[in-house]
Amino acid sequence: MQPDQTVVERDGSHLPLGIFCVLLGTAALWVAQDYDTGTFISMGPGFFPKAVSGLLILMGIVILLLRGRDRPAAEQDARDTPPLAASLRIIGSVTASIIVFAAALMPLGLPFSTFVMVAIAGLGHSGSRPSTILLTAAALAILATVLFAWLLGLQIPVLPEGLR
Amino acid sequence: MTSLHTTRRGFLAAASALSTTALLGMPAFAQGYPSKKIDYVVPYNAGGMSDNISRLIGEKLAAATGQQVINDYKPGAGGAIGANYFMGTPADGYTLLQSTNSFYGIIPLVTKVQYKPLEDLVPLVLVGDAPMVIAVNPAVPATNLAELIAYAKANPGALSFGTAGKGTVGHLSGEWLQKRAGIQLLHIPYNGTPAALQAVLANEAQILFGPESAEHIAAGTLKGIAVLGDTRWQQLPDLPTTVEAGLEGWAPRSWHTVSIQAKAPQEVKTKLNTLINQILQEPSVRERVASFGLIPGIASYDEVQQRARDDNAQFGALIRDAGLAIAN
Amino acid sequence: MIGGVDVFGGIALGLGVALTPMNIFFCLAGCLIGTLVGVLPGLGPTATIAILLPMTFGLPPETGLITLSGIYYGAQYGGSTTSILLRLPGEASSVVTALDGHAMTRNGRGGAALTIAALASFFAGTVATFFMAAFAPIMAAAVLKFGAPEYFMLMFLGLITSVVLAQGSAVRAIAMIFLGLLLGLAGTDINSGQYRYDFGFMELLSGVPFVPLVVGLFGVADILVTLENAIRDEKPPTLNPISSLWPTRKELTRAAPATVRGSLIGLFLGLLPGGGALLSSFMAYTAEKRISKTPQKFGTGMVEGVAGPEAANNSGAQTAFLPLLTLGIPSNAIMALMVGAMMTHGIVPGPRIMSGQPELFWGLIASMWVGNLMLLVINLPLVGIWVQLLKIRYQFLFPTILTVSIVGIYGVEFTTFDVYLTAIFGLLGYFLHKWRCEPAPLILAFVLGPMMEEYFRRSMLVARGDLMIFVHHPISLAMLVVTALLLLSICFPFIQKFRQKAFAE
Repeated sequence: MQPDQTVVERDGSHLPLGIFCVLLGTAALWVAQDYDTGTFISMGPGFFPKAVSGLLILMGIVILLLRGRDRPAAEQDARDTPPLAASLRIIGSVTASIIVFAAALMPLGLPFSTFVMVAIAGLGHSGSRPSTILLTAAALAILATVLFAWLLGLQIPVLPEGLR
Repeated sequence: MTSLHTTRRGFLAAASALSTTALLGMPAFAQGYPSKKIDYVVPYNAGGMSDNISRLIGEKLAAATGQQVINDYKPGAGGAIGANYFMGTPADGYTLLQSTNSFYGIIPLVTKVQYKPLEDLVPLVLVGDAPMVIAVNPAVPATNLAELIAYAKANPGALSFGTAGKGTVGHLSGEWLQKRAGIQLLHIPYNGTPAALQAVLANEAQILFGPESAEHIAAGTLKGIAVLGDTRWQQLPDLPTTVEAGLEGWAPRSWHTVSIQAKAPQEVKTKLNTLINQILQEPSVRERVASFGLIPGIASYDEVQQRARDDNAQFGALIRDAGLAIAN
Repeated sequence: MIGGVDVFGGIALGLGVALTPMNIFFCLAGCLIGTLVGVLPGLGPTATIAILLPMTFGLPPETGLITLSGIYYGAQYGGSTTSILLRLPGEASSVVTALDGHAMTRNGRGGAALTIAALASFFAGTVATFFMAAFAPIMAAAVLKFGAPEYFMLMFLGLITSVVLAQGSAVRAIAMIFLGLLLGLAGTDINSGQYRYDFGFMELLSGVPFVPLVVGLFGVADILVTLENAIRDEKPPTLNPISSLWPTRKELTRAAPATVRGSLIGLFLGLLPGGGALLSSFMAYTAEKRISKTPQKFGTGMVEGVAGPEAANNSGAQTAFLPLLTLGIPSNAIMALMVGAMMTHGIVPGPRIMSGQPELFWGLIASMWVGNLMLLVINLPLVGIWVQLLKIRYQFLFPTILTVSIVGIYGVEFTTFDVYLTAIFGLLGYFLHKWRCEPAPLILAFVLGPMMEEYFRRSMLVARGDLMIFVHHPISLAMLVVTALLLLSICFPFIQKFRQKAFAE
């Protein structure tokens, strides 16, 4: 089959996706090299991982070769991408908020870490004023403590480490 | 897990605070230990056998000492996550671990754990034995151990045993039976005991080791062959033991205990052994333990150490024979 | 008398137990708690039942179990609510509901979707209760007809159907299946005991936890995408205003047959411990999409795509009790907790429950129907309240979703490891969205993959290495044929398209 020159790649998403599949498959294959393969009839713990990694690499290559033609044309709506800085701010703030919560929960307790999480995540919403964010954070810190620690009785540290 | 050294994480609402308070301070134990609340680490999910035992003992311990006893659930990796967490708590005797003999005989040999059995972690009491019943699908032409062994010898490789997974007491029981009886059985690991029970009911595997078959033996949907070890089980009193059937000596067993860090003061260990044994001797408690499907037991501190040492050596040998050991 | 059991006497006995004022009260309380907790995305019914278990210890055994069952199916309802309104599935079964349910919400039909979900679930619950009462012993025998080869073929069939779930590119859906299979491989291999892809984390020894994966791929990723869209549009994301809370006559006539089909699919698959139940909603969705004259419209708010899976999910949730009550085999984590609850009362679940504890057996079955009725009564008025959620401004809504999900995830296993994983899967979900990939096939493959491998290797072990076992077992053979036909029907349009293209060039 000849490459179809007339298809213009309208969203280009096949490139990162294909590369992602190939890289992840290769990494998984590399990790799995120590697992015993066995045979199809008598599979070792490595058979399935190696087969799945190999097929993931294969799908990655297929996606790269198809260059976006696998998607129905109607779906390829040309949407302008938001500025990179704004995207990074959203991804950064929301992801960071979750990580900070996980890191702060044990030493600082539930209300405080919830407050910090919501405050950081709030930076991802462009229209919010700082005072609104802080108020939301305080309200949710109280809500989380009442709901999870008191009403449901989960074993979550509430007070900071020094005060427990 | 960087925060292993936090003293207390947790908090119980009135809703789940079963194993707490009852401030009937008992002056006999008021001097010295325990002078503050006790944390009780349960290395499995709430609702299981270990949780049931820990609630029973915790509630009574709180009543006897006048101190709070608070359950702390740390499930995962077959108990290893809870054990590792437990080893990170202070060794002052104020943290207990709900555990089984697997923590001495099996887990440290097949999983990466941060303790050496009996050097870092010691059992305090014997709560009860979970009887390891040998049950077979009714299609197997055998009604006792001798017939089962004879059938297996006549038809090598025809019988298989279903277990809850590699390195479980059920699996090692199968390895033990093969070794002691000189027979060949195929091991089929399942994902948990219920799946193994289902398979033996459907005759996908033929043999099951463990207490879970009791109801089916009583209903006639499975056939009981024997109980591993030397003690009959009150729930199936007609079932002979493997010792009676001629297989003398140690047999794989599963028993529940409460463990403590070895570094805790000796007087605390002795006191806890006395305290918990008093609880375990109460008729109502023995009844509850039996209703969990266990054979209630009592052991002195030294006796229970010996039990754990035996299991460590015997299970260790089986695990090495089965090729399950990891370099630790 | 059906199968030697006096069914009507049993039902009368059961209603006598279930309709005492105390049991009605606790059934209501359980349903209410379950509904409220089911709405919280992270903390699922399993964690909730584990937490609330001690509360039931002081109650008589029947009452305790009726309460716990109420929480269980209440949570099933609650999970659908967040799936439909916020595209936040809490468990595998509601992943499917999110597909067309949330699309309906975007079309302004969120209230109708919730109402249909409630009505379909009630119908399915009624059908399932009746079948359980009438055919319990026969259904229990059917469970034992399923061995390793049958389970393997069922999982394989399920995996193939997940391609049908995809709305966009089939190639990308297949890539997502392999990605899901890969994620599912982490943990301890059941057959050999080998650790795979554990990267030294003990938390991964029992596999990648499900809740962080699903909350990350759906909940967190959705927050990232919505926030990003908000910048571009310079206005808050709006949904079409909710029109009527009631489905139209046309929607009802389309939903009704889907409900019946879904109920029957769930009825059967729910019986199978070890993965049957979670397949039921996926299978029901596939069936609807295959039967439909307009399959291309699925994913854009088809009411059949809500009614079928919801009915299947609910009838499956009821029949999942049967292996426990007749064989003593808990078919999922929640049923395992029920065993714990029974044990504390000295009741050992097994084949003797029906004859030895008839009031417990029939009381529980009758309470299921009572519970379903209560859920309908609770949920229909709540629909109006839930849709108000959509009016909350996003700057307040997204931090609330984030907080409730993240704290709930910590509450499932009490480890911050799961919270870190959620952040990673959130990022993954965001990029997959950018790359026009759908998470539903990934989730299904993630759940089915490890079981497929397990059942295949066990089949080979049982058959001593003979592949013909899949053909010799009639049930397995039947499913093999269905799978082959399905595969052909998926591939056929592609082959045709490529041929047309080749001719055109």
